[in-house]
Amino acid sequence: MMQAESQSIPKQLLEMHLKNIQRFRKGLEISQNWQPKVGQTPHEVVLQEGKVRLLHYKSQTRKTYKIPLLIVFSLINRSYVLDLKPGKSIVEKLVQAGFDVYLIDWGIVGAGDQFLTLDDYINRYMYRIVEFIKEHAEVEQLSVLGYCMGGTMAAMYAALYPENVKNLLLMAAPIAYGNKGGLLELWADKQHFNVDKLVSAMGNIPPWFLQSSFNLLKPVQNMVDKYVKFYEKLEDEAFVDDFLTLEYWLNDNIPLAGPVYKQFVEDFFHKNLLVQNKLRLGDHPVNLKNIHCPVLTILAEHDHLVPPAASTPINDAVSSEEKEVIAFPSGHIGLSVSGRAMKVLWPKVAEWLGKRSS
Amino acid sequence: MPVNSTENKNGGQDYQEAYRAWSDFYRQMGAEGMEMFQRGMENAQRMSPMGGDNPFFRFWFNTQQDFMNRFSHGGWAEAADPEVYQKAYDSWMDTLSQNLESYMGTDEFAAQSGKGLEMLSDMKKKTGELMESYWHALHLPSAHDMRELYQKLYMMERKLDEMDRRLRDIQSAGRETAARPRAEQRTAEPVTEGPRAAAVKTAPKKPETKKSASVKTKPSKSKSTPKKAPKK
Repeated sequence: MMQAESQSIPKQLLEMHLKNIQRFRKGLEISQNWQPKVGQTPHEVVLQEGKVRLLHYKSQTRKTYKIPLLIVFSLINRSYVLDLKPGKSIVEKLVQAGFDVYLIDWGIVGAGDQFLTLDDYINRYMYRIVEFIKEHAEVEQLSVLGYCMGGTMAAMYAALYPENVKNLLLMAAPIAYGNKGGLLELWADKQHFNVDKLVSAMGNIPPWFLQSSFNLLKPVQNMVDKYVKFYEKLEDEAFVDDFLTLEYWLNDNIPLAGPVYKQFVEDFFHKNLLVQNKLRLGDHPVNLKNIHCPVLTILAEHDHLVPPAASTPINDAVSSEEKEVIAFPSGHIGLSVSGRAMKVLWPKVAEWLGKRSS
Repeated sequence: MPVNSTENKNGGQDYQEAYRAWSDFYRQMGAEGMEMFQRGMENAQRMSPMGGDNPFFRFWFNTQQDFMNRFSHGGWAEAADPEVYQKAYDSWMDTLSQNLESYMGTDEFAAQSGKGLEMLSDMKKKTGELMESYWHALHLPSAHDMRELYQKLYMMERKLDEMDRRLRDIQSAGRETAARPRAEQRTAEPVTEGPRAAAVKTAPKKPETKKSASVKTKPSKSKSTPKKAPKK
């Protein structure tokens, strides 16, 4: 018995080596011919101001809901992760569900944008965009969905201009800081990290800096494990395409305006001002108690970037009567690209929004 | 013993022999390697400029030792089985990941990375200063000069934007006042908070004439309305 088992092991090893060679060849073939097909949902640019563009997605079915939806993405990544590829696109899902969808593409910050502050983004760009949508869609109010840092911005906008927001949807949005368990908070502690020095030397925060910080949050998973898994599944064409598309997005980073980064580190990480209603954007105090509209908080249970504990305090901070939380078992990016999120989470979100968009 | 597995005439015996030789070799290598590794780690830990009890070395050493133990637990023959290897690998990855993440969460790592970033920032600043004298000698603008120019442009853009916004708010405040019945106008609460307050405060009080009451309620587009992109 033992002899038979030990005989089979060298054969298994040989077969494994042969399989690896085949797999490697196949992987090379696929990746050589691979082209990114991101942002495929039909859209048009309806407004452009400097580098900021507003995309309007053409409805693929008859528009069921009158209230349009504005999607606000983070300033540190490209927004097309929300329209990654056909079948893995939140935008596509929402358009198919009958929503009139707009998305802000913040553009790529350059040297000339190194003085932009959060005040500029919220009180200038977002303000103008919303005013434009109100005219374009002929409505008085709209729903706002913010993802990650875009969620924080959406909450700030809703607190400043509550009359314009019908529904507020926050997806993995950091609202409260102060020992909420995030490593980013620890690394940005003023004991160890001199944000002034970094911003004055760099101007804008380069993408490699942000990307490496995010990679270090889960170093083994991000830098070893996922590539091993990729290698193991090289024969699965659908998996390879998904993997390469997501990698394309992950490595297609953009710089962040220095003052925005500085304000985030100081006012959010160090002082936790937003949730205490002590934050000011320019001359204007941001009071979350001004928010009275229905609020939906979408959480990723295994989010290492924005721990759920950093998102949920929004529900205690707003004055809304309707507050709901959907906790989904995924990671931060899984919320927007995983197959399960497309099948389970987004229909649920569309249903919630649909009920409040007539 | 010659290892010739191309002609396997004796029922897999050549394979078996080759495998035995291979596993003996690795067993020996493994034992020696483990000892060398342990010695090396101890030396590295002793000589570390960050002191003897460095958490990075501690976690790294423990992880590697754990892997070697798991891998060689059932003997090397068993370890060569892909399934056993997979299990040992997965468990090693978990341990490595947990240990590394706990190291990343220490004050020591935060302090070290903070120091590294400060050094990088200083270096970048010094390079900028050096380049500035070079560009100035050539009568060319430096990054600092460009920065000043960008700042001026930014301030102008902000002022323009503020003016545009005030004009719009004045327009809409005027329209709202005109559209409301007189009784309501007298009792309306003043806007004291929020971004609109400043604009409303500066809005001149218009005399209530028949002309102002006939202003259309649909907002008109001023010249500074954000540019609409051409439809495709």
